[in-house]
Amino acid sequence: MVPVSHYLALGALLFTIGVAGVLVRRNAILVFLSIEIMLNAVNLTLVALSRAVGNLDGQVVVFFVITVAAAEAAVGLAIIVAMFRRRETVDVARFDLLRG
Amino acid sequence: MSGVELAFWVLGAVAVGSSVLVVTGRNPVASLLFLVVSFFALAGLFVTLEAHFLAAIQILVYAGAILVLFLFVIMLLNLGSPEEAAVRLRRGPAAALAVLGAVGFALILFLVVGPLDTPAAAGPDGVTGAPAAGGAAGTAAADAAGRAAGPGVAESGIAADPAAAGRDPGAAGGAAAGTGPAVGTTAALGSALFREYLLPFEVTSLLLLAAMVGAVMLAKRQR
Repeated sequence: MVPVSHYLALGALLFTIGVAGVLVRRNAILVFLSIEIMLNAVNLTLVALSRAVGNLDGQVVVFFVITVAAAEAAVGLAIIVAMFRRRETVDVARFDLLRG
Repeated sequence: MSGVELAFWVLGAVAVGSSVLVVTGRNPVASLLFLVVSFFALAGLFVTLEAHFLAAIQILVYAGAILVLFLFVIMLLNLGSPEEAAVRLRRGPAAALAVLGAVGFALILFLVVGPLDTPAAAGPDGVTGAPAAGGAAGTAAADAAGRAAGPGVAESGIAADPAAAGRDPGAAGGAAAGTGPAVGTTAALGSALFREYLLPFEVTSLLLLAAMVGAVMLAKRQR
């Protein structure tokens, strides 16, 4: 039986990879993919803790996280498409309309 | 090292390796395909945690729906220069991930199907996580309802519910013990979702409706 700490470490590692992707990449689509990695790292943590505690609440939360991720992906990609129409780029460094 | 531990290490390595390739990749399409690999590995990890329903949802919703949406957008926007439109994967990491992933899923298959072959298993019903007792009760209730299609289905759902609820501690215990004929916790998860978490579940449908309307409005060509 794999101890729960190993799952937590794996989740933390995946979350760190996702954070690095959000901070480093400039392509908006890749930023979104990194956010998906982070969401999944949290899902893994929730499922592992759900089994460690012995009830199913964590798995129910994962169910809702997946639903919210689907809604987020739909709206986010629509925003990316709209921005691409306006600016002809998906480079997040060039989305600087709000720069002071 | 047991099969579960081996599966954990192999699938964890696949998940981390493919996630690194997602973040470091040059081509968005290649990054997306590596993310699919990562999500499959995570689904395998969910199986090692006895969350079979979430593993199936992970593949259906994430790999099947969300990532296809991403792929559509990437190809719609035609990102990247035309000469690198063809997906060129880096051979070494891709081959290593393929071998590791195949080993991991062979282990998962062994873990899930292996217990079902033993006489102690409840039968193929266990794959879907539907308890044989609940299914039998539902069928009996449907028979009592005169086999009318609509009422019969509703009746079987209601009849299966207490059976699933009664099974809830047992299923959790089986999950805690790690083995046993209680493959998956789908019935217990459904019971929790439609009893304690009914209101959040319904609010979720509102969220999806709002997201759908918002996405259509945002992506619509402005006049």
